[in-house]
Amino acid sequence: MPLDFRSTRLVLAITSFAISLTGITTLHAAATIAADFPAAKQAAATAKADIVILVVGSDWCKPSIPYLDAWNHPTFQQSLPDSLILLTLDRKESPDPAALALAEKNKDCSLPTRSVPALAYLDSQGRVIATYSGTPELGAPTAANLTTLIKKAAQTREIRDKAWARADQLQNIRRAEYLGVGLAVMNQGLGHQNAYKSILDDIKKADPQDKSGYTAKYSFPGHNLAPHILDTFVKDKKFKEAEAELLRWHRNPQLSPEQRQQLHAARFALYRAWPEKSAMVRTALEDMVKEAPASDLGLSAKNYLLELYPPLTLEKGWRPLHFEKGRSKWKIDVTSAITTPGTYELTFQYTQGADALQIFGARLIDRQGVLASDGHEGSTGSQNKDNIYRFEVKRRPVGTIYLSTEVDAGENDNSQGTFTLKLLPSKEEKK
Amino acid sequence: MQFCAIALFSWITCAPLVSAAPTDEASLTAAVDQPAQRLASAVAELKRLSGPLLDQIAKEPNGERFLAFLFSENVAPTLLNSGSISEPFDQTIQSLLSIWRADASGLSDPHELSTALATALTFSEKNWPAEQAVARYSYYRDSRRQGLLHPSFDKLLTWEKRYVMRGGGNGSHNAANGWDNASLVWLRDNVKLPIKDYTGACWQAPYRLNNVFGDSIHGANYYLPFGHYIHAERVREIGGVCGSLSHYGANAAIANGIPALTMGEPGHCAYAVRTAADEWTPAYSLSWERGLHCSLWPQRTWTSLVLQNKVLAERYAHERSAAFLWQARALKNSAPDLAEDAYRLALESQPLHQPAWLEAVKFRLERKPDAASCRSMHQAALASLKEYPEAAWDVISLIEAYLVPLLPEAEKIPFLTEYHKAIAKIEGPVMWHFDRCLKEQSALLGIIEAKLAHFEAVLSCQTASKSWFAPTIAWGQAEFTKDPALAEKFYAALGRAFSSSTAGENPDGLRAALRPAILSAAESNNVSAFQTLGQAAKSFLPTSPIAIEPFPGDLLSSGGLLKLSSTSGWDAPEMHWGVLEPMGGAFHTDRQVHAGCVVRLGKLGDLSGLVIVNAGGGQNGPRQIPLRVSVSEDGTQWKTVFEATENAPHWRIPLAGKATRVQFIKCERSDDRAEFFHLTAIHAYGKKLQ
Repeated sequence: MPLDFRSTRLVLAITSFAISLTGITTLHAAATIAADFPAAKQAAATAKADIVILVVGSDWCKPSIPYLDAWNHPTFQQSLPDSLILLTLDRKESPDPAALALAEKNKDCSLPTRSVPALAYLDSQGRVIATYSGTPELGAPTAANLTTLIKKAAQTREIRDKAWARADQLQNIRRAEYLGVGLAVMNQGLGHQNAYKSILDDIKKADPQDKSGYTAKYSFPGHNLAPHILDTFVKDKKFKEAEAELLRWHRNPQLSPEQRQQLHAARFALYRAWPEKSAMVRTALEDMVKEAPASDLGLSAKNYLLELYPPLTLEKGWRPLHFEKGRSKWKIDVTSAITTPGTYELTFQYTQGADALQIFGARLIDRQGVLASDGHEGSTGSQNKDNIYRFEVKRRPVGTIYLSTEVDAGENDNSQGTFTLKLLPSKEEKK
Repeated sequence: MQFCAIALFSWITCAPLVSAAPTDEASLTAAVDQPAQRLASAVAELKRLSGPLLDQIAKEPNGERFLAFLFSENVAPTLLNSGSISEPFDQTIQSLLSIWRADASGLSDPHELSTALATALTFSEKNWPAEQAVARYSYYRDSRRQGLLHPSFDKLLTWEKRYVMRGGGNGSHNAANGWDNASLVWLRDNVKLPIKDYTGACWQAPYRLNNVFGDSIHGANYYLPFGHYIHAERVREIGGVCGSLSHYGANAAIANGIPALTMGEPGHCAYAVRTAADEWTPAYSLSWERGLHCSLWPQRTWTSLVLQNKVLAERYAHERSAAFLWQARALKNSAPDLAEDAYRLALESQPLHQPAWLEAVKFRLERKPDAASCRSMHQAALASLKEYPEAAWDVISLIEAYLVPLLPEAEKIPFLTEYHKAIAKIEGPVMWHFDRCLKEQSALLGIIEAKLAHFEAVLSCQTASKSWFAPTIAWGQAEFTKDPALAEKFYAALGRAFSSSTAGENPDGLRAALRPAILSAAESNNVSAFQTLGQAAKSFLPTSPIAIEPFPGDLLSSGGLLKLSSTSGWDAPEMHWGVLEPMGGAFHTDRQVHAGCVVRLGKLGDLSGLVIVNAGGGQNGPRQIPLRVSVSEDGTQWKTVFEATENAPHWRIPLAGKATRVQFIKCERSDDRAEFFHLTAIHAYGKKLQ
């Protein structure tokens, strides 16, 4: 049974009403509807107008129908910026001969969209400015929302064109800089199918020594920098050469925050393989976080830090990284383990490493001060000595409770172990 | 209806059903053809499979209501007729019970009912925790009701939905943060495509061996820092290799209600999407050697996928065949002769029902039949299944293993070649490990002379076969040429088969044997046979690498396949293999318009460049001009990457960034001259994508 998607009929009605022999019909003073992609391109080139394409699947993709309805709503077209060419790309699964012929005409319309429905904004030369794929990226299927997306893309194109117009008035490095700014505002590298490669060629021509840094910015290996460093340098233990290569990238002022994060990720990969610089591993990850803490790469660096350098907690125990030179003062949140007055027992238990742990007393502290303490010295290693601490908690704890202790693990701090903190049964319970 | 009610009451209370047991073929048929009786049989089979679990359920609150639902005509037969089932059946019943408890009223809608049954059948295996069944059912119920699935989902029957419910990893349910329900939701909303486009959906995720931190996909840290993503999104953003990419593509289809599955290939993971009711399309597939991660039959080959779809789609024939099978199982011990009749009726109802064949043959062989009876079973199986040679072999190999030792020596080889005669003109539906058949048949013959005679007999059957000739030669080559004395006899056998003089030490003999086989292997796209035969002819090729400057990366053409637009009297197929290898080789087409060749690369790759060697240029060099070189991912859609209008000893074609996903390369003359075409080497370099 054929699908009965109401707006399939609507768009067909509008299309058949709207399209003239030239394939172009102006419905309003501003918006123009194109019948197919070649017509849209031609009209856009003639009028120097941008093209907006709504991708739908009217005979199979139900979620695209509300977007079609909004697209065809009069208030939508009235709210659009000047001189836009609108094209509906209906990716039917069961096309009739007319739809098949239309699909053939549209076959060169290559868009980097990943889902249906989708919206694509192209400049007058057919180059992609922005795309929104799938309902999560598109947002609400309303005329107002579609208009907002289109205006946003139009604004990007305008900023880009202003930068490029300025570039046309300039020479050499300044020209390269403005060309680069225009590219950067679109945030899509060299674009879908390298559509903006000619801009990069112009940058190279204007600034052959790349003093602007934009040639490098658009040649930056991105995600592949760390694999490249590992494969080209680290494999042969050419650590210093690798560092020099990364430093060269680091000096480029044009790298975006994401590119800088990729650079720090490559530093992380290098220092992890370079024994003399292992202390820099953590710094590289921290630098990655600092660049853009809430970004995906910022979060991934945070995750990696937590994995490699877990904080000192009751649950995860201690590792060599938790020691400072000389005695270390540890303060561990134990609120979840101390809930009521009673007798608690804390066991320090070494599990691995060359060094035993020396313990110089332990205290429980809450908002009101010391809750309980046991000041004896003990140790835990291949043999244990007085490694169990007992706390008599006589009042109800208030606020966050910390375990405070001083420890040492010799010169190398090579010790790893666990904590066990438990409430002992009361005398009544024992009975 | 009255009988139905009695049957239901009987089975709800788990008391024996009072009905006349079949006593002959007529009563067997009558029982199957009467709906009430057929339902009673289904209920009996369900009880046999479920054991004491149903008694326990009957005692639980609402247990009897559930059993009434379970034994209803919309549930019991569908549950049993929708592909293979897991034994014990407890987990299926438990899964269905939990769905029924969660949404009993929803199951009155046939759409939700088939989703529930498919879910229960899916969550019936060890790797599919029953407690997760409700969540999976709810995902599809709610997505369907919100109009978020592909509309074809509404037309799927229970068995078809089983391919959909199995979203996960390597055919198993994935825990949180893997290919879980959250990933399905994400894929449903972010990768919504026309059905056919799901075969390319895997490439939305970048192929990356190392992540941004340099961690390898083969280590534990590749995805570790990216825990803040849903896994599907993580794969799209971070990337992966064939396994991650294929799961992304398959699960994207599955999330949208479209049957799809992942499958293992040698050193690779691919996937397939059901692009039409009767068509599965392989995606990111590099070989015919596919092991399905999801199959509705115990067999997991591509042949099985094609066949199970055909068999399960013949709904009424299949239900009838299944009903006879239930009878046979019920009668096996008490009335074995009648059970045999029931098996025969099951097979007559649906001759392509291969699992029924396997079950029936095993039962008959357990009863030690005589040779004549075995022969007739062998003939019947062949007649029914010969269009699916691999499926036929699975059945008749059982019979041959039993019968051959009973046959007089003189009858053994003629008997074994019956299979080859039956399939010689059949080409599909897909290449399979045909050498398995040759090996198993050969093992049934004791002495080496008999094995060679068998090979010769098979060869004479398959000489004209497009599909089976090359693998026959390849198997013989591997089997008989390790021992020089044996090789002598092997070449002699080949010589007789090709009616030409040959000998083991005689290169002409080897050539004569290999030439048609190599062309046949290329014609049938059989890479492994092409490789085996090409390497067998290595002695005809130069020993040192051809002097050309390579491009960065691996030699991706190595291990591939070369197919010519035509061959000719000047062509030496034993030299074809070398064209793709470091030492170079040669090929020579006939005189024709647009003469040329297609190379299937050994590895799918991101090309850095091509080197095409034109036999040094010379006076025959212009034959290749104007030369057009195109690349393709699928062998059907081509993109021209190079054109040469002047003769040259060789051409170096840089392609970095221009041919990022290539499996095929086409070299051809682009004008309208009818002319020969020949090259010495086609070397493709770059990064492997598999």
